[in-house]
Amino acid sequence: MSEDGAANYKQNLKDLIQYVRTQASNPNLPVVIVEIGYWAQTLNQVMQAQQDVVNADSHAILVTTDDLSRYYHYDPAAHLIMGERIGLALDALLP
Amino acid sequence: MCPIGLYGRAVQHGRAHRNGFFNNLYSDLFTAPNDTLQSRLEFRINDWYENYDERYANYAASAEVAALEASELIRLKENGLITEQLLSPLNDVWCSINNTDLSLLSDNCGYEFGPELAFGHYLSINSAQPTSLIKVAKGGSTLHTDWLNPTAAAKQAKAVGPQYTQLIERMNTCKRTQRR
Repeated sequence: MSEDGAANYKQNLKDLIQYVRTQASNPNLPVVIVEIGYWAQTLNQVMQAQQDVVNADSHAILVTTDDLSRYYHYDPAAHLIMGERIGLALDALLP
Repeated sequence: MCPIGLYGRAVQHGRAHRNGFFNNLYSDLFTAPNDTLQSRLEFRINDWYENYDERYANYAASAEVAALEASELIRLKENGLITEQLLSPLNDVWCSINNTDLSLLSDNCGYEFGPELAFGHYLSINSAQPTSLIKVAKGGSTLHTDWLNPTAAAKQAKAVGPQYTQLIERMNTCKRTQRR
């Protein structure tokens, strides 16, 4: 990822969420963000940006993946496990 | 419930499906004796790293991760999320991928998969509402270019990201074709 990309990640993510919520006509649309993969977790700026966005948004939540596959596209088992985590995270956001 | 957007990295695990990983995994999950199940699954996961993508994935192999993932798969089976039904698309799940119309998962995109597979089954089990999944994904894409939103694009005198545009278009399609 470029330096600009990392530096702008937080604002770009916030804007994307805002646009999607506007498009869905739901300002409180729940948003589940899957943590950047283990392979890229040296990108501290991106990881922190994901956490910051979730911390500032009561309708967003972060799914952690740092204990799963270290392959850059994960492995098939990890995808099944992540699917459940996304579901559980969404449940935690819904009233 | 429409739409649920899955924003995330691209996943192309059709090859993983086709090379027999899933069939072997499922064979073990539902036939291996309980006292050998953990070790069988760990073997299958390690074997995937040994052979996937002409051994390229091997750099990321980890016995620790394989053990954790194997135990998680067993838990998901015991919880009822991983069943033999996961091998076949559910007949009440609709999807839209690489085209603009929603269609039955079994008719369109129930082959290659990412996290949306288990997520869809999770919703099927835990939600009484009809569900639509819209997947927009591309490998190696970034918020800075591919997903660049209109505000940032205008500020930086750049084009709006094609993945962003696709997501919004598909959300609109979903709204138009929403099944009630």
